Amino acid sequence: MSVRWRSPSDGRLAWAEYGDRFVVYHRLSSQTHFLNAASAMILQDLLSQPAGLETVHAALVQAQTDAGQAGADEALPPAVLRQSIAETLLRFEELGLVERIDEP
Amino acid sequence: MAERMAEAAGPGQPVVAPTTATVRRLLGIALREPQALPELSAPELDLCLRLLRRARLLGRIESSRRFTHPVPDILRSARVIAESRARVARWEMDRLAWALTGVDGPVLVLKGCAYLLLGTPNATGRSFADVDLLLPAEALPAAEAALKARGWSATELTPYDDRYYRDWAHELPPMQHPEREVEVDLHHNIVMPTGYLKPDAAELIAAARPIEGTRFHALAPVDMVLHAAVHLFYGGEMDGSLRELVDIADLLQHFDATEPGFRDAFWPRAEALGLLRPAFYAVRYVERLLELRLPAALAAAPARAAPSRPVLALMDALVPLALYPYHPERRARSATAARQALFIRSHWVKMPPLMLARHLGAKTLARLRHQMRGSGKGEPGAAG
Amino acid sequence: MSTGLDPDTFESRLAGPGLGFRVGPFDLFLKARVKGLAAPLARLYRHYPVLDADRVFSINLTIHDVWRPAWRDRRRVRVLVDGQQPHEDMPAGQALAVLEWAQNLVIAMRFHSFLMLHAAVLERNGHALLMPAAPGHGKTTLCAALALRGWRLFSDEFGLLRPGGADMIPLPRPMPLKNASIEVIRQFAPGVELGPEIPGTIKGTVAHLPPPADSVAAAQRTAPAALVVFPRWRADAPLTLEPCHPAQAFMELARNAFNYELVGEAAFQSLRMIIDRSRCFDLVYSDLDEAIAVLTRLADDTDG
Repeated sequence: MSVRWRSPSDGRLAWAEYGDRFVVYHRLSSQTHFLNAASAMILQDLLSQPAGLETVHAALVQAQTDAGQAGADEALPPAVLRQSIAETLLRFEELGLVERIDEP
Repeated sequence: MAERMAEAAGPGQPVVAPTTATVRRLLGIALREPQALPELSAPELDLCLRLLRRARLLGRIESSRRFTHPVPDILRSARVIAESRARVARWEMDRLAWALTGVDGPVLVLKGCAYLLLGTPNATGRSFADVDLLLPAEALPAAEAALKARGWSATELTPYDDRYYRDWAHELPPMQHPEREVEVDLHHNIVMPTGYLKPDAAELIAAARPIEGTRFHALAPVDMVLHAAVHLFYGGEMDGSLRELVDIADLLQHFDATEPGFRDAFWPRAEALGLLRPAFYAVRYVERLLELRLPAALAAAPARAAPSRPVLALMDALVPLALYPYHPERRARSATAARQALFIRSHWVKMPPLMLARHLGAKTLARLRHQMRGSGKGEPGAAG
Repeated sequence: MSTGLDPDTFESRLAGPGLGFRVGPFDLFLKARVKGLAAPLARLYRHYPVLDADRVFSINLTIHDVWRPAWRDRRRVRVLVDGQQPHEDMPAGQALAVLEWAQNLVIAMRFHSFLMLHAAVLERNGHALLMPAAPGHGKTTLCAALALRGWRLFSDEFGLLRPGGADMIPLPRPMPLKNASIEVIRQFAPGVELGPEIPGTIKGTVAHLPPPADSVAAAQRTAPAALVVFPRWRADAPLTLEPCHPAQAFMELARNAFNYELVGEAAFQSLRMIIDRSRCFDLVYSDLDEAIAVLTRLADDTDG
């Protein structure tokens, strides 16, 4: 079974962007979340189409490389990054920010 | 039951007589002809709004340009609270649906959440507190496990209370997700199994209807009204329950207008479920206290639905006192006594007297022990 | 004494039919039957417009003595809002403080047509300064000092605004100074008039600074948010003023609000507007005059 997630395109989120930090208001839950650049990228871009952990991981690694992030705290070792992404995806699902799509 | 005299007025001070009759008149206007509210004198409108707030009915009143400062803020504030609670309830149900995806069988939402999802007229401006779900008894363990797996936890209870809920009450101990302040109650019937009323839960579930666009079911229309009646008259607390009588009135009128055959199905279904008595009280007090004319088929209760004459006389005296908020400038001892009498009565109706003595006794003992340990947390006072 | 009322009339009206006051956007109807409360209350409330009773009120509040002979000297006062007690009876000596806190409670629990930030707010030069802070960082003392140096007081506690906008709404009320702050303000403004010192409250000793007359007179005039400053008093610290990241400021404003989530999306929009239109700073100081100087310069340098 492969799992993918997707950000619903039902306008459930309102965004405020401040450089590398983001504030997002989730209309259905009336909760406000504070995200760093990587999380915001996952939520806004990477899950606009259904994507699984591997896809998201690869995209973030690529983004790190493109941004030339050496020594920045966003540049984590791949295994740690992957774990962190997995936790973030599950957390987003629990918060109702993204939907899970299970495929056989 | 003598009422205290009105206070002496100051010079030029308009006075609204703090009587029960005034309370009922003002609330009647608010419920039946709210468009007339801006025409009330300012002191009457002031009193009316305070009574509506006490009765948890303030959110029903639409603001308008005909009201002057500070009324628009008062009404808007009540509406904002109601909208917020509705959002919170909807979101909790969204998360519950997510958590319960693996659990088979129908899950019914009860009371306020049903009104919200169905969009019944009484849902507007209504305040919700908890989420009440009804499931077949055999599905409860799986549901409880599914919720725990997704982060909900049971409220911490003493072993006594825990056993009370599981064995005697018709529900699991309340659950709550730590990130949200919403209590979720999972029931397997609408009345306690050790009580005097024993509606067949399987019947209620079998007649339930899916709520379109959701994972949930709702009680069938007649059953929904009967449940509200049971909850009001046998639920254990009657302070500020005028709102629940208003719910019943709204539902009766709404379903009578939109559900073919509703009025003819009402009494037979009440009888089939063994709920003639609560149905009787519901219809009687909707007509008498809210001054509503119900269609004959609904208003005409079968004779066997009525209680004995002495009991009826007692209820006729106590119920109005218990349901109506008392005037904010007076401490109506009679209303408090009425509520206490009805509370004990409805607990008696829930649990046979022998068990009741044990239940109240054990709780009192536990409370006493708690206080003697000097933890400092006594019973909440008459706080709002 | 209070506008148009001599002390005896004030006391007998308060204890009898009640008195109405306009306090910012709220019309308060008060009945108080507590020995010794009327005189200090009349002084603290003396600039409030007095209202006739022939109107709808925002808040109806009663406070009265409760005698409990079994407790000998422990006289208590009871607060009633619409006939219900919001909290247990309190020692009678604290009546003035209790009355003020009861109003805070009712406002915070009820008036959700406003977005209510937990912040001190003052205006200078047409710009509103917001100072959100956790308790104990000296916000009220700094607020009092600014008010005594000509800033227009909006509130030491409630940053009120209409959800969806960023214009701050005044709610000028007595400012409760606590413990060491009382002496600090006495030194800062010699001869300043304060309400009675009330010992033994849950926050220690409290004394109230009355809202300045012109702040009350201007209470119906709003001002747009332009400065958000997080003040922190630290003994002997040199003054530092550091820009605060806007996302951080947003989060602190949201966390330090009474009803941010309850108000919903319009609250999010308001905070977005406030952050967009304001400069945000962290301020550490030990000297009140230095802090005031730096804030005054900021307000005077703000365009628009």
